[in-house]
Amino acid sequence: MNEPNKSMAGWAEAYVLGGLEEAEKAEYEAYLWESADERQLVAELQDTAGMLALAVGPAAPPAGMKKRILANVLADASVSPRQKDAADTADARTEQSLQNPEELLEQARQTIEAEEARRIAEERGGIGRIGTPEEPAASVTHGGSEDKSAESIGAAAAAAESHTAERDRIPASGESALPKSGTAPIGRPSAAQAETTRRAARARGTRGLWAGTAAVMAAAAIMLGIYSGQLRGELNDMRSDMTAMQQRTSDMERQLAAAAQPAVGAQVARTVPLVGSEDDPNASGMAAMVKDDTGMHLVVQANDLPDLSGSEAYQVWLIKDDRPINAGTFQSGNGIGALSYTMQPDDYDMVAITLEPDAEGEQPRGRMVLMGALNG
Amino acid sequence: MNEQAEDLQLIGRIADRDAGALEHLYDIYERPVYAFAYRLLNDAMAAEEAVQELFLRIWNNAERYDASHGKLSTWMFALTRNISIDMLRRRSARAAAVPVEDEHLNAVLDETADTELTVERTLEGETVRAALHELGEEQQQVIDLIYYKGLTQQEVSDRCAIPLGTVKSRVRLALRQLHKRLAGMERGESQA
Repeated sequence: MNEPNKSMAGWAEAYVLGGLEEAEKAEYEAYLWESADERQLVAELQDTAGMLALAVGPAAPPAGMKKRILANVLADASVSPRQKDAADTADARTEQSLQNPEELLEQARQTIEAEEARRIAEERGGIGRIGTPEEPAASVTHGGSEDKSAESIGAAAAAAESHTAERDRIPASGESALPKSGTAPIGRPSAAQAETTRRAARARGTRGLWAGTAAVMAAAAIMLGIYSGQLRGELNDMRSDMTAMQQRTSDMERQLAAAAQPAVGAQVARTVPLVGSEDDPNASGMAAMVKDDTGMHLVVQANDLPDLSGSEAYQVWLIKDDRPINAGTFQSGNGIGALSYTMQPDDYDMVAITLEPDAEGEQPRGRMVLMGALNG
Repeated sequence: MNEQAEDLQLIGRIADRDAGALEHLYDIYERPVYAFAYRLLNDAMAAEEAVQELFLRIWNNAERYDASHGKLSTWMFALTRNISIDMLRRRSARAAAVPVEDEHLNAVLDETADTELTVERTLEGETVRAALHELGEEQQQVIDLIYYKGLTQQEVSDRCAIPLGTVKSRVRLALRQLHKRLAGMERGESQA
């Protein structure tokens, strides 16, 4: 059966290069099944064609391609790089803001402290023009020198404690965010009375320090809020994953239970006559695809099969894109054999039955006895 | 261990869902498959999509690789070509086909990737290019139109107004000559 098919001489080169029309390709692939020599030739020529891929000029992959592709493939996601890009950028931003809340909190605190120091310096200048130079110092020297006043949030809190009467004037923490603390009403004390000025100065100092404290606390609260939001999101994701898994488990259990039940309303999706090969022209058969509640089943029945000897067996294959999928093996009796296989629905090109040396193979090793085209 | 045995072991581990093995395979083939997809599609984003689809198929269907049908690289390049040509056809079905010229806008060698493997691949590439240049112009043309641009013999015949029989004989001769010239490389022999 491996005699060269004259009409197909020279098809191997066009086949490996990808130059055959679809119909020619199907015809040639059917021929390949029958001819081991041709398969060998194709395997060799395929390596040659494959090397043409190396002849292209170099092209540097885009930055981050490996990370994107492996993440997508390992997650088995079918997201296009375009979509993934946008998602990655957003993720990166979120990640950055959540990766190290303590660090960011520290940054926020430093910013606030610096702002506070600047404000105090400004205030001193302002007060110096309108009142006694000692006053501002008095309002901020609980922690030591003026300069140190901005270093310690604890000292600021202590200072605030000693001015409970002023608390009423402190804005709510939500309003005491950074920009506001920096725009404290520096120029307001226009009263000539020293007492008013002193009170105003103390109030400003206290308010500023409280604003700093409150801003840090607000920043911490925001960070923690974001962080807990993220955790909640993850928890929700895990819950939905678990729900999906439970759903799948119950689906599979239902399928298993259904499989044990007699089929109800099974329908034949299509039938294909199986034609004997050149060596086995008398062999015949039928393949049917039967759909029921439990899925799609391939049912194959064959007649006038050559007798088997020893451990030989018949094996059924579903073929798609040159790749045979094992649909099971069977032993024939009096030339008759049959088999059923629950298949994954797909656009298969061909169903074929081969005579194999044993029933254990994962790839065809023997000759083809029957075949039927599914893509016709 | 020779190249083929290593490939088989690697693909076996991938079939067993070993993510490390997939990453190893990716590292080995990232550059050649990307460059190939880029050559076919002439679009960096599309080439990346093709490479992703390739590794997705390998991850999900590694067990389908059959060493008796050729080298692993052959299988991977064939898959890359199928994926890319499908994308080209979908693209041309969506819009009027724009002629694809050999504009390697990002054809820049990454200096940092000058590994032994890259050197070896570069040498292999040069050998294949040299073999291609030894072909007659007409033979080079059919290889280019069929292999790199995804036309069938019939389409080449129609587009270039060359009798189909002539196209077929050019294809046959070109492949035979390349096969003869590159036989050593096919068996994994060093070209250096």
